[in-house]
Amino acid sequence: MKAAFFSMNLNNEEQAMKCPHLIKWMITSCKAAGNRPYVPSLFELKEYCSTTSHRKCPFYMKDPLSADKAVSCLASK
Amino acid sequence: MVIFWIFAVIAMVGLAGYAGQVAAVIKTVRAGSKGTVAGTPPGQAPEEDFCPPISILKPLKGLDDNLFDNLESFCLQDYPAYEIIFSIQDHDDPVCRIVRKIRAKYPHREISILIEKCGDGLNPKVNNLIPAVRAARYEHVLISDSNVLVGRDYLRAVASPMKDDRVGLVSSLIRGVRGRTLGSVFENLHLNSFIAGSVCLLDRFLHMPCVIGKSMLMRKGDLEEIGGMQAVKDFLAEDYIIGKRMHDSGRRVVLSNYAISNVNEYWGLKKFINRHTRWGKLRWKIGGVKYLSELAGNAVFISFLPLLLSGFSAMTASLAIGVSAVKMAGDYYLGRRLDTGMNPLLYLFVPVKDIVIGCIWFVPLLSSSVVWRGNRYVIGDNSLLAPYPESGLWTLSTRVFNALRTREA
Repeated sequence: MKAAFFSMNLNNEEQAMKCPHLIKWMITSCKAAGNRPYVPSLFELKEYCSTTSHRKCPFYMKDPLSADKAVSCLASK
Repeated sequence: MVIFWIFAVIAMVGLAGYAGQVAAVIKTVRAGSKGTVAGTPPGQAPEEDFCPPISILKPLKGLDDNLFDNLESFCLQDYPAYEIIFSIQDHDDPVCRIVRKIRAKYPHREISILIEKCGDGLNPKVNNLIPAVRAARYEHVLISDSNVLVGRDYLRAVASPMKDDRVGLVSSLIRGVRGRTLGSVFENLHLNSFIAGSVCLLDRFLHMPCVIGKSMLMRKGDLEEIGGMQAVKDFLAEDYIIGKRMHDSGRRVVLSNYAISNVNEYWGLKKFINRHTRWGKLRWKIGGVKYLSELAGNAVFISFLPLLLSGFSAMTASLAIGVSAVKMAGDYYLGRRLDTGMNPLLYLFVPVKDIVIGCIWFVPLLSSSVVWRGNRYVIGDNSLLAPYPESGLWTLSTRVFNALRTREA
């Protein structure tokens, strides 16, 4: 619910840049990590979550809905 | 009136014991400021340049708070030669994805990811460590928990006492840092007062080895001589047993004054209660009658009992407030000495935390079963684990409860 609220507030450019699994609500957390929200480190945020490289993130790749995009992204490189 | 004075005397004895813990922590920390290592005989200079190659073994399961930074801190060591072995039991564990990120960030480091299911024993941490010890390439092995954050000079500090061949094991002082929820604040307050105080008291004044498995440096040969990890696979307190056997075999067990940070950020109150119930049960099974002294040592809890039993009066309230104030001041001082960086206002939670701990104290006397990392066990003498019996009314009720909970989830 919170994720939906925030994704609505993001503009198109940010949506394209940031990982869809990132939840920014008081504490930035990742919902792709499992049952429990995972709080990424500053390095992870900079290297994966906040850039187009989020498609290379092992958490993103594990997610079945995003796996196809990740594979196609890596294949194109 | 008699009740009041009985509890007042016990509370004073508890405060005296607490003063001993504070003194022990100060003595341990001061040993560091003078450039000596705790456990080093007085007058003997520490050996700073002893840097044997070390295999760091990291048993991992699940995503701990601050996990990436914790693991990364081991990749940033100012140390000539070492390897890191991340040991995981399950391919589906989300921690696999964190360690892959770590390895990608530090390609020049010797990092191995070992995913091997081992069901040799009942202790899941030891099961995770058995393949890691086997895979370790170096003679010196450092077992370190996943929720530990260290500075760049950590390996040098803990390796230094190993120059002495008589030293068999080096453990470290622990401090809790970065609490953001009530459960994690309670945990950090308890680690920085009772746990740090007790470990230092036993080491400094009573000369009893008290090893906490968050950081244990040993030689592989010494570990094998006391039976290896296989010998402790069914013990809940495998760290204590290793330390005790090392001590009994004639080797010295040293408490390094290097304080490692145990990062507890987002713990719930339930996790805090579960952990200290489990630790209480193992101390009851290991210490026996000595466990009773822990209640007397909880001066805050004792000082609140007259309020409960005799009702509110100026005397009972004064005792509770006075003892709580002393304990808060002492814990604040310890926090400063251990450099925990906790907000001073959080020390106002100390009396509440001590009352919770006082209530938890009674649980081990009534129950000897524990749930750890999803498994249920019965604890025997010296924390020897046995599978939880699969029959009887208790099991039936547990199964019904679990089934209902699963259905709700």
